[in-house]
Amino acid sequence: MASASTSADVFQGNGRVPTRALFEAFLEELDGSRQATPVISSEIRSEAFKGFERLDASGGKPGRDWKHDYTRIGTDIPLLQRSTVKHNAHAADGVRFHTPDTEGGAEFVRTYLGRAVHWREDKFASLALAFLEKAIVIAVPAAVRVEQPIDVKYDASGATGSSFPYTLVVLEPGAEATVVENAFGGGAFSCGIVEAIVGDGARLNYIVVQRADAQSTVLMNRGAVCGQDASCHWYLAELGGALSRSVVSTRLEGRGASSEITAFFFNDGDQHVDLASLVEHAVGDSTSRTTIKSAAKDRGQGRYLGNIRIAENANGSDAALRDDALLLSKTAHIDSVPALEIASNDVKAFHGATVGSIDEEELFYAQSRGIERTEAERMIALGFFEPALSVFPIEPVRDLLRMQLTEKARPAAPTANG
Amino acid sequence: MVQKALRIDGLRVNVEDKQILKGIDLTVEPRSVHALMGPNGSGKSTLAFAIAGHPRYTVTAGTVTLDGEDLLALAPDKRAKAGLFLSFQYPAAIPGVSVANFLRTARQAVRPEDLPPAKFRQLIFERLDVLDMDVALMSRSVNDGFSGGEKKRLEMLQLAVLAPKYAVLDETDSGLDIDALRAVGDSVASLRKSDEGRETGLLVITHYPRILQYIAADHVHVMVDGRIVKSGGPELAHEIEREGYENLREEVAGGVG
Repeated sequence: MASASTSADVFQGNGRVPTRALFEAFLEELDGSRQATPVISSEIRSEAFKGFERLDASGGKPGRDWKHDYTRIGTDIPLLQRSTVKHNAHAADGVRFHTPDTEGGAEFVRTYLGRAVHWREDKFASLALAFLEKAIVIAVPAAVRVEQPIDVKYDASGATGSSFPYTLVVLEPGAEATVVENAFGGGAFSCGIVEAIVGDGARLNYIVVQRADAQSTVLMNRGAVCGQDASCHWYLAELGGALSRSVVSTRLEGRGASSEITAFFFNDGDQHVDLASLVEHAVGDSTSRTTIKSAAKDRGQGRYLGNIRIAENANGSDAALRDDALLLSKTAHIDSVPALEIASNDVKAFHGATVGSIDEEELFYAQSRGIERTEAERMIALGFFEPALSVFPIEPVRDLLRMQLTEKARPAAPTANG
Repeated sequence: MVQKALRIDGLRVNVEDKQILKGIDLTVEPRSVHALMGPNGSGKSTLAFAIAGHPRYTVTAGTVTLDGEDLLALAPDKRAKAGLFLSFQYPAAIPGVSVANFLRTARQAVRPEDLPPAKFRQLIFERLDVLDMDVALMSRSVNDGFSGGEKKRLEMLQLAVLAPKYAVLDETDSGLDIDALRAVGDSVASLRKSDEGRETGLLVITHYPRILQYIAADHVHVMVDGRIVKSGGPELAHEIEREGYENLREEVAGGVG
């Protein structure tokens, strides 16, 4: 998968440059290239870039101990890099896999772009679109059930540049698929969009294992729209990066549609994670379950913004949002802000949130069985994630996540300066 | 040579500046079964927690030694490693940690050298059988959503699996029906028959003499208001069964007055 050769400076060198200058150079280089029918026009890119400059980051300012200032993020970024994308989608399974260069790919993108992620409303989705370089499209035809999970790997290990991935998943009516997005490396700065169109009666499981390098900034915006009797289950494991901002949304547009979101993060060292979820019940008789587990140790900082929106006349909607946060050190902090906006009368809506540290009685109980305090803390912290982790649908993924969490739960990560 | 025993001498314990134990002397020898009886609020559970090292209980005077080792100087996990076990009246739930994982981790902590996995599994299956417990329990979270009876049986399972030198059973009988009580009795009896648990000394804390029909005590002590007011043989339990604690309270009051 060699990329088109280019001599433009925007793809070379180290260090950071002002994003506006980079964008202008990027546009020039696009104009000079031979692409006859670009995936998106320069006009849209320019509109998106202006949006990025104009918009504030959604969700407002994170907590006072945050080291990352959202008004600054993205104003200087590393030069662009060409990341590699690998996948195992097989035509034999009925899956069609496109890049915009291939026939049909660009058509898909033009049809669905902005359908599930409203990029015009989000600062970083706008940025992702302005620089969109490589798009991949996974399309599953009607009534096709893909047995094997479709692996999509973004690999930018050791890279120091910026990347702007875009993924579109289209399940036509009655189709079923599981997609595993495994992002590692990630370069120094990664800003992307995932859109999923889940047709009537279709079922999508979308798993994200985010394991970016320790110094990386990862800004992702993922959204799905579900038709009648369709279901989408997002599984998010936010493990890597210095700063990860992850926005996930599902819009239920057809009766009988259902959304599940299962997400967790565990910040150690100086990691920051900003997670936001939005479920929109646009019509009635729709169901949603959102389950968030977050923990922080050392100087980890986290924020979770959870929103359930039930539209007018969406009677018979059934929504539940559950989020639990665990603080494992005095210098770690997690803000948790669940919200329900309900405009219909005849709905079931529940939300529950807890924030706390490990219960002393649990610790004593484990200690009384000979288990050392630090080991007991580790065990209890891992147990805290288990209800979220155990629903991830693929065993090797669960094993990987348990391993990563075990690693994170080890006592006392060294300080950033140390 | 140090005498082998769990030995409590002149123990005084405060909870939040209030003195609960006012000088306890009690020695549990290997293989022996001591019953500690008394009305609610007499300080029985305080003794159990103080021995095990719960941070809320402050020892203000006295000593507790296990085969000569000073337990009070040790963290709770080190006390368990020294050979102490406490069966909790209200065991904590640990969500997301399976019973199997917990038992394995505890066994490895207490007896690091030992049992190959196959033998460990065999041990667990034997004990589950004695306690009339379902193997499905192994994949459930520790005490999470357990009934009162299930919690007590899990305590007994841990007692059997860890086979300590000395075990304190704090109100293991409370809230149990006759079948569960019998299972607890059978569990202790089978512990006695095993190589590891043959020598385990037991301190059985109870409000009701009923459990002593299933675990035969060699010695019975009665605690009232933070003091042991009477010690004797099994017949003392029968006396309490007949007459309750009121006479003993009066004896104490009379003695003081």
